[in-house]
Amino acid sequence: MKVLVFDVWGEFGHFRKHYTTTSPLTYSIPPRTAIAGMIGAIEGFGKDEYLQYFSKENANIAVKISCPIKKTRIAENLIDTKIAPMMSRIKTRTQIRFEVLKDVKYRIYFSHSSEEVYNKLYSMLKEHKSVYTLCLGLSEHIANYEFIGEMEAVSELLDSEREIHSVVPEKELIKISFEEGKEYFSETIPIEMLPNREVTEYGKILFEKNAKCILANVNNLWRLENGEGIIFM
Amino acid sequence: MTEVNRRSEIVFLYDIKDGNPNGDPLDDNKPRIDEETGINLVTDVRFKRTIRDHLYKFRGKEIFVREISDENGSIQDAKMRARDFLTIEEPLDSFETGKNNINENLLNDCIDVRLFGGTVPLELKLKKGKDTGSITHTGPVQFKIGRSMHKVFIKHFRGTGAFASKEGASQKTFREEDFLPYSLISFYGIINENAAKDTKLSEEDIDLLLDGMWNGTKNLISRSKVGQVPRLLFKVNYKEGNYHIGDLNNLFSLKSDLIDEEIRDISQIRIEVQRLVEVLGKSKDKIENAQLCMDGSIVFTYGGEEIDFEKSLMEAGINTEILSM
Repeated sequence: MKVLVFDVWGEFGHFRKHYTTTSPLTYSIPPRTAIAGMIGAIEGFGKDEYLQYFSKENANIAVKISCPIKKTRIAENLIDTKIAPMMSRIKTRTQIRFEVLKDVKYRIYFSHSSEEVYNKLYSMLKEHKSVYTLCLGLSEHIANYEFIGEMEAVSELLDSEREIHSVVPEKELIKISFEEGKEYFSETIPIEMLPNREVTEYGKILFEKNAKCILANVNNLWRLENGEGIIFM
Repeated sequence: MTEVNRRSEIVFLYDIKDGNPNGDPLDDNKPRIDEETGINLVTDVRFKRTIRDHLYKFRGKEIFVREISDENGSIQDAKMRARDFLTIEEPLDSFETGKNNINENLLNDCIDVRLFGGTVPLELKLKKGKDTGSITHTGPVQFKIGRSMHKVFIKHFRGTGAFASKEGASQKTFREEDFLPYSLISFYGIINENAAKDTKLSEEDIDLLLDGMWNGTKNLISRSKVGQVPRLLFKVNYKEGNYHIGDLNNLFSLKSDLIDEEIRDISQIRIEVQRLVEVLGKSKDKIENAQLCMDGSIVFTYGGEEIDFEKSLMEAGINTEILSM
């Protein structure tokens, strides 16, 4: 299978956990749905339509943490929309503390059943182009990216422990070897969303916080020509 | 009106002396500091507020997101509903008709929606009952959070306030505050030509945006921001569609003989642009031109040698245009 590989980064990022409203917390990694949005922005799919191109059936998406996960908080004075006429004429403000990711970098792996969607992304990545401004969750967290290349991915047998570089969906996990000096975390993230933004699947994702690989027995592992082992979400 | 049909990247440098460029509302209004690095942060919303206020107060432009300042002037504002942008009579045949009408008026009237986008909740009376919905626009112009190009020092002041803390008290209250003796802040933004179509952004709007960035920063005469001076506005316009280099702000680096926290004036620093000029030079075929406005106080260097920034851009094959503000 051919896989497109590219790195995205930015100074800050915020991928809001769906159950946090006035104290917005962020996931440690971009959920699959957010990565679909980024690819949509590069290819130029509109806000209302991009999700229809990235169902799990058609799109394979994996992500690797490339810089240690760091979080901080930024307090902002937002408009108190409860009493602001038209949500824009400001009478009072309300202070909201945003949890944000800092010094963010991820590697994204992508393949698609439609040649058109795949080739469009390939040609945009090759020329360092994007139709809309790429961001990490919120528009002010502008991101930049670099194309790493198109790589051949080979399915790897699940006979023994393997090194995995991407985040690991828990449902693919058979057995994990916890190693000293690594910090393991898991988060439940949205995996699939309908174009009306109704999330149809959440999944538990396991990751190593300092951008180190994980040693485990898993299903559906793919090995890239650069040696990276990835599992699609 | 000229449609915006090219991508641009913007870098804007301004400095502040003995002031607070952006207080943290949940930390005693202290200047925002990234504690890990000692870098001063200024939110994009603070910067957009500066631009909006300038366009509203000094350029007489209608803006959508604004403060209701005084009781008298606010009567109209306080009653205002999204419906007030409706120029056809209710009840309406369909929700879409009303939404489209409001959307058109909103984009025609409000420059900040054309620049930065916005969300408007709608509740419209229809011939059959009523319906709710919203209008959402993603701004073609986006700014990152601004950051100082050096570590900053925070000065804590104590003073005597002008007033007593409560009625009947004979002594004046004490007050405390935190200032930055100096911070040179860099903002980075992108103008996206595709999103510009959605909000009908024009080149005239962009001229006003740049005016708001430069003169709004300079004219923001409040106690904590009076020391703000715009130093450099740098805008790269691309002719290649859907292309921009990205992260241009990181290609300017600050050099000084002093340690970061001791910098107190623009004359004590130099801005190194070698990497910037090299990167731009490599992509010169994709660049239409670079527009710049300088206040004349920044010393630019190329590999350590003092240079004329505009000249070195031209030597790298970049057409330049000097903006007057």
